[in-house]
Amino acid sequence: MERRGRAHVLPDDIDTDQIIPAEYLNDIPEEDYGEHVLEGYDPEFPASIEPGDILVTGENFGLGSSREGAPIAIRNAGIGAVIAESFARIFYRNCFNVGLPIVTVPGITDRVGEGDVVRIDIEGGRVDNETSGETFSIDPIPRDLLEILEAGGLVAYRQQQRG
Amino acid sequence: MAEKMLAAHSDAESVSPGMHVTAEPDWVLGHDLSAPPGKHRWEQMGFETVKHPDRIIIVFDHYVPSASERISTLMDEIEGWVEDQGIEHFFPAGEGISHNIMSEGGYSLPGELIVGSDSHTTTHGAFGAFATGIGHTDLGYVLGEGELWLKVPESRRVVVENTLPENVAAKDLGLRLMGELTTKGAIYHSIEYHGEGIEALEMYERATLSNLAVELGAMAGLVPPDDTTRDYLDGRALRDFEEVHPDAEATYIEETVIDASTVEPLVAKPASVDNIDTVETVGGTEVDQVFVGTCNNARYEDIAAFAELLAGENVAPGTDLIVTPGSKQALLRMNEEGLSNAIMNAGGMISTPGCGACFGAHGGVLGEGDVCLGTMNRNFPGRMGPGDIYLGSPHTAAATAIYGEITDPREVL
Repeated sequence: MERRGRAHVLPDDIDTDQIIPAEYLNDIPEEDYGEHVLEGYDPEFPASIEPGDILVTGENFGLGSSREGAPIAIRNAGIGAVIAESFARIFYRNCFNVGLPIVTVPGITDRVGEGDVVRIDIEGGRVDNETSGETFSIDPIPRDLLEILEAGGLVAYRQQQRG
Repeated sequence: MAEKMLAAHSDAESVSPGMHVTAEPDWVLGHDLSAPPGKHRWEQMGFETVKHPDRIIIVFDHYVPSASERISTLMDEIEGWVEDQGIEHFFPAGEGISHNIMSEGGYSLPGELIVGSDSHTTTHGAFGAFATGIGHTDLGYVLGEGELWLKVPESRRVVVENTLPENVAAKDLGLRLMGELTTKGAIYHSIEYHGEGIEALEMYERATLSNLAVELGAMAGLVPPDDTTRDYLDGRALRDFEEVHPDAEATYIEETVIDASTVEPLVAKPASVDNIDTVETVGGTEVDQVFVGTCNNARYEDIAAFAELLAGENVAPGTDLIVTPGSKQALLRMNEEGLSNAIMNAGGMISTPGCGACFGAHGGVLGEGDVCLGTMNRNFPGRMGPGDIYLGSPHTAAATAIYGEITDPREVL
């Protein structure tokens, strides 16, 4: 699985309230969450996204509430993948479950600038910053999670399993 | 402890940190915010029945009473589904917060595995259960399969020496730990709380600490069961249970030692739970709202500690005091003990038991420039609207309500 896109660099500790504020959760349908992605961080953020863009974030991305609306908002906004220095636990699970590719690269926010073009090769275990020419290795993803991701999420995975 | 508990609930004979196990929970929790998407995923995955209707707990606690037409429709849908599926443990609006209901009702038991599509499910670690949060798709899957994958966490030890001074609360101890470990200090760890300072805590105080475990990034926050646990569960436990204790030779990735006698009244300043300072330092900060509530600090005893300081005083002009009991049981006892009258006579409001204003959707949303001091567990940017949130103990909340500015509870005595 590969992803290539323009980087948006975010700091440490972006929580799920910033990714999708609770006021939207039961008031608008899931399909529309993407229009409000990261509004709690920067109200202008949704307008800055082009399909395929990649979030490059600091430590503990997705802390806070277990709301799955957070990775769904990112996915539905057209963001291709998230690279973080570390992920919060429930958010990490949720990303695989909704089919949003994520990889962990310690120290990545120091090595990627806003707008750099980055390429992620999950099977190959590497991230390339094409703008700077640097290459980084990613923390390995367990096989069972990779299978869920390749299926496009846990719902699709379960449907495949049942034939 | 975590390894023994996960091994006991999975097909693995022995487990080690980092392993993924397929585990079968004793309880699966969903609430009004997570059950509708959880049920939707369960349907999408092709399930037609839930695996164990006797192990499922559904609670309406977040948007109660219903905050919109859309929510009312979703609640109706879940109520019908609960009935169709024969789900045995359903608590409608007004019963209180899931975690409070579960512990008061004897659901939270030592040695049991609890998963909940609510991040504060870690609360039940206070009762010796391995309890952790999951997402909505996870919920749909475990409803249908009765099992799910869990990663075996590393264990981290926190030792609390000595005991807390008067008018310093378990919340202050929890905030002290937040300051020392930070919001990313224990990502994916299972925290174990040990020492005299933990043993001296009542169950409601331990619940405050385990509730905050998730704010440290942890998967679970476990207090080994002791006589305090057994006394609490005597006559309350829904069934027999098997206690799990750490082995004498258990290893931990790290140990943090806190001397409880040095803990002072603390706050988490905007806008992170680890932005800790003393109440003394931020004293004088004017507040527009004081909120006493949530799964962190709204048990009867929390509200009693708050009301004891407030009784006979008046809430400062220009400050709104909102008290949201954590459960109907807590509210009934407040009424019996005269606490509800004391709070309202002082100028406070009492709202429907549930999560209340905590997550910014209703019942106390902050405006631009507003400041709230609350007893909850999160103060992220925008959490309760555009205003700023300080987190503190029920004692600090009482002193702050009286003066309309953040005040050290030791000054009120």
